[in-house]
Parts: sequence; C-alpha cells; structure tokens
Amino acid sequence: MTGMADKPDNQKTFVAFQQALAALRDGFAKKISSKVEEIHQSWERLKAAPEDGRTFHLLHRQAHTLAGTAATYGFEEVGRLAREIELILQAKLAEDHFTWTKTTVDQVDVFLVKLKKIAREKTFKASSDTEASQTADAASLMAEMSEHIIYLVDDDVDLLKTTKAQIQAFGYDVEAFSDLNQFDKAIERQTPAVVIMDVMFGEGKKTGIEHIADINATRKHPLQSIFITNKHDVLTRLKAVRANGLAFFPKPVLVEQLIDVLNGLNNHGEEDAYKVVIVDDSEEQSAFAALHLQQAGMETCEVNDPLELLHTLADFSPDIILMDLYMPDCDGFELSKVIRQMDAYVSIPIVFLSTEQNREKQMGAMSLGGDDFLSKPIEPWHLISAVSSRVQRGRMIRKLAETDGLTGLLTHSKSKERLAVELSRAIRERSPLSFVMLDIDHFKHVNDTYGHPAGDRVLKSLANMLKQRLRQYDIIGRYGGEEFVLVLPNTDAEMAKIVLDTLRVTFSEIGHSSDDGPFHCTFSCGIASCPEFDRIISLNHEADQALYKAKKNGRNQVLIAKKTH
Amino acid sequence: MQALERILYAEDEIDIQQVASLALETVGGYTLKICSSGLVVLNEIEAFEPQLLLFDVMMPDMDGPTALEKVREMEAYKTVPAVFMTAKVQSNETQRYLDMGAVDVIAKPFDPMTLAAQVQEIWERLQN
Repeated sequence: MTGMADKPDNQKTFVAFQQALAALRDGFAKKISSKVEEIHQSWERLKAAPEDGRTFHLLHRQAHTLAGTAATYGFEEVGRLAREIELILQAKLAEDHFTWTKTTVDQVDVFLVKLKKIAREKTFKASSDTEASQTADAASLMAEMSEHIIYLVDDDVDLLKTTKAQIQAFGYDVEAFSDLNQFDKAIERQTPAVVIMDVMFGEGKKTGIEHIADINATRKHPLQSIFITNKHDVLTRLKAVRANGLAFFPKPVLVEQLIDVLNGLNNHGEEDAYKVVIVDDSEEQSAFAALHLQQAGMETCEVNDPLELLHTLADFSPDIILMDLYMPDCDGFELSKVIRQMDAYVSIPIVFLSTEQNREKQMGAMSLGGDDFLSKPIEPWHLISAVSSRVQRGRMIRKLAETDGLTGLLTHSKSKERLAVELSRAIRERSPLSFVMLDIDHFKHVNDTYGHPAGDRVLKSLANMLKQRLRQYDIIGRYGGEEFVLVLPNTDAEMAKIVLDTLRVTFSEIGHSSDDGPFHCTFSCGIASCPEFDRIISLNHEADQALYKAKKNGRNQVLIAKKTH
Repeated sequence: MQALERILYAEDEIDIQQVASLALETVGGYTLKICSSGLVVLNEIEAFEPQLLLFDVMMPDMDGPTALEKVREMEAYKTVPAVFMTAKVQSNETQRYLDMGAVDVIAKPFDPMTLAAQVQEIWERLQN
C-alpha cells in the first residue's frame, strides 16, 4: 500500500488538523455577513436594472460561491438559502430573455431577509466566541487547566488503577472515576486538561461518547477527550469525532499511545512567529508586504539597502527571504548567489518578487538558488500563503533533520551542537552545567525476548518521560541505539544525580507492554559536570567512563565522574 | 503502484482553497499547487508536472471544462487524470463530465475530513 498509508496521519496531525479547521471556520463565520451584504447590493442593483447582464452574472457567482463555501464550512442553513437564490437565477439563465415576475422577485427578497438574519447571528457568534472569550475567559480557562489534570473514566476498576499509575509515571496528575455521577460532579468543580473515557461505559444504553457529547452541549468550551473502546466501527468513530474527540483507541490501549497524544497537546501552540526578511529598494513596496505579513501574525524585517542584508540575516535569523529581483547596486540574482555561498544559509528559502514575465529569466533566478518566483503585483493572501507554506515546510524539514524519527529527540550531531552552545554559556556566566549519558540496561535482551516493536516502545516511553519530567530548556538527545544524552544547564552534579535517581526509579516502575504481558526496564547513568570538566571532549569522555562504571557495578544506578587530580 | 504526490488544484474561492489545502496537504500529505483559474492552470502545469488534476467546474476567466480541454491539447498532458469538483450533481450531469474526459466527479460541498481519502480512492482505482 502506498499513498495515504505512509503519509503523516498520526494523532498529532489529527489534532492539529481539527484546530486548523476550527480556526478557518471561525475566520469564515466572521465574513458571512459581509458576503451576504455583497449579494444584497448586487440584487438591489439588478432590481434597478433588470437588463444588466453583468450584474446578473455577478450575483449568480456570488450566490453560487456562498452556497458552496458555507456548506463546506458546515453552515448548512446559510448554504441552503444561498443555494435557493442561485437556483432561481439559474432558472432565469435557462430562459431566453430575462423576465422577472413579482413572485420570483419576492422569493429572492424573502431568502435574502432570512439569509441576512442568520448571517448576523453566525457572524456575531463567531466574533464573540473568538474575541471576547479569548481574552476574558481564556484567562480563566488557562487558570483552570494549568494543573494539567487528567480525568480517567472506566468501569473496570482494576484497569483503572493500573492505567492511572502508568500515566502518572509520565508526570501527569490523574484522577480516576469508575462512576459517571462522580465524574459529572468533578467536571463541575474543575475542567480537566483531558478526559480519557471508556466508550462502552456501564450496562445502560448510553455510551461514554454520548455522555461526553451531552456534557459538551452544555459547555462553552468542549471537553478535550480521548476515547477508548473495543468497538471500532466507522459509526462509533464518527460519533467520537462529533463529540470533539481528540483521539480514538481500540482496546487494549497502549499507555505509550495515550502519552503521545497528551504530549502533543502540551506542546501545541508554542510555535514561534514566522520571521520574514523583505529585501526591496522601494520602501513603499517592502512596507506593503510587511504590513500584510504582519497582519497574518508574522514578524518582518525590511531591508532597503541590499548590501545591509548580511548583517540582518545574522541578527534576525529569518525563516525565509523575500527579495525584489531588480535593485540598484546589487540585484537579486547576485545577492541570492552570495547568500547560498554561506554555509549557515544554504537551506533558507528565497522567494523572488518581481514584475519579470520572462520565463527564461525566472528560471535563471531559480537556478541561482531562488526557490520560487512571485509576480508583482501580488494579492496579499497569495503572498501570505506562499510565504507561510514555505516556512512551514522549511521548519518541518529542519525539525526532521535535527530530530530522531522514533523518539522525536535531538540527533547525535544536534545534541553535540547544543552542548557546545550551552557549555560556552555556562563558562561565560560561571554557572554549573551537567552532562549525562544514559543507557537502558540489557536492552539487547529486551529486543531478543519481546521483539523490536516492544523495544521501540521502551525507547519512546523513556523519551516521553524525559520530555515530560525535565525542564523546557534541558536538552535531550538520542545518541543512537539505547543511548541517550542530557544537557542540564544551571545544574551541578549533585543536583543532577538527585533528578536522575528519581527518574530512574520512576522508569523502573513503568510496565511496558508486550505480547507476553508487561515487563520492566531500568537504566544506568554517568554524569560529568562543568566546572569540574570544561571541555566537550572531557565531558563526553568522563560521563562515558562513569556510565561504564555504573554498568560494571551492577546497573540501575547513577554515578558522578570525579576529577582525579 | 505509483504513489500520488502532486495534485494541481484549480479553485477560485479562497475560503474553499484554504480548507481543501488543509484537507489534502495536512491530512493527505500531498503536494498541492493551487491555481485560482483555468488560465493560471495553463501557466503552471508544465513547471509542476502534476499526477492528478482537481478542477472546480465554475471559475471566472476560464472554467474547469475549458481548462481541461486546453490541457488536453498539450502533448504531455493528454492522459493525466482529471477530477471535477462541483455542487451536487445529477447522474446525467456526472456523465457529461465523464464524457469531457474526467475520471470522476467529487460533489461539493466536500467533507474536509474525508476529501483526501476520496482522492486517494480514485487514484488507487485508476492504478488497477
């Protein structure tokens, strides 16, 4: 099977998709009123001049477009009314000459009145939902959710206990409920970050999904829910989606999968604004582009003297460069060549903006290191979408190149790079830093006994636990195989040992799933710290030696490298 | 079987473009070239080398069927599969689009959740 199966269709993508769709839908809702107003104006013009073919066609298009878009975004009533108007016009179009009877005019009038009324409601609701609630109640929502508590609901008490313990091992607060009444009371008290709900709850006819859907119907913000079920037909899945489900897992659910979704939620929304450098000798032109890109939430930096660009690149570190092709002193062709000669900017996307219509010249620009060619004048939305899709892709590629595919942790070379940066900062600021080498004990045995998929899940579990338990600015990398490295800034060796020992105990308590039932793993660590060791090579060597000793001493322990002289 | 990667998508309405690109790029993982009219299609098609054409029927400047006719005049694109997207159609209308050389018709409004799967299904059917 090719195609969709190997495309990114995991849970995180699904969550991101739902959020993106909701944002688009909101944006569209806000525009419904003005779209209806346009239709109304065209209609009034047509009534004043029934013979005006251009107005007729404009109106037809407007009604057709609104019918289609509204329906796509799920505003069925708006879509239906616009469609009625379109159908009346289409019928007229089929006639040889336009004649308007009073009845058809009245019909259109009635549809328009209805359309305006409902459009006002939708637009109003969308604006108040996003604006008012984003400011006023988002604050309360954040406060409520800041504890990241998870409600786990299942009528199987034993399963409830083990699942709760397993999720807690990853650093989440979990409250478990085997009774729906208690769960309802708890919801009234506090909104959890996520609800994990067994679908086939109780013997009654009401399923967990329906229960959540009912609760959501009474709430302003729907609960974020993950459903677990032993039924996985399309209908049940569909119900789950409609109840605002984030994810849906068949039983027996692997805790690792749950944690993946939970981690995805936590990391969402922290993406930095896209940074765009605009190079154009005309201040007016660059200001135009900057304005529109800023309105789309991007950060911009305008460069009107092309020779200044290199300074800007170093200071601003943009995601993308937008460049006018024809400039005095140094044109876009030459400038892109210069940029591409510098190692640090080999992969930064460069997009040329120009009135150049000559295809050959356009191609020439590409071969010199440009990635795309946009013709001026350019529609703002086109500019925004061209820029954001390239930045998105560029960031994704960078992330893929810098992170390990299985665990999402930094690669060997990237971890080393980050260690170098943090070490020089620690030396400069005279602050401590610990470097940790961590290795899973008897990992080969795990792979041999339980199979490689189980081994991979152990690696992912450890990665997830480290991500969840360590601080935002700690650096976590996978050196390869079952070996991990940590860089803990502002942490001396003693402190690092305390942290790692806690993690070591927690990790040893996690039950990993396999076909032969759950099993347990441990890890060993070696720690080397600055200022005792102040070079990358010695940190690496000493941590490695300490790890070797820990293994030799019987594993499942954390050792600190001591300076011998 | 060859995997579907590049889709040339023609649609004039920005709101629809956005939701379709979300559905096809994010969910389907395809690479999409969006053209806002038939004329733009003719300008872009050679550089993009699409494996599948997805055309809205009703567009200003040049509508979907006309664009397909022009595309078919190009030697390299005589057989590239084309799918029309259009508001709820009756079966005789569908037949009309098939006669124009489309391999299938996707009804609008489409469901953003399943659009990619629909396209993939058409593609796989064609490969067999």
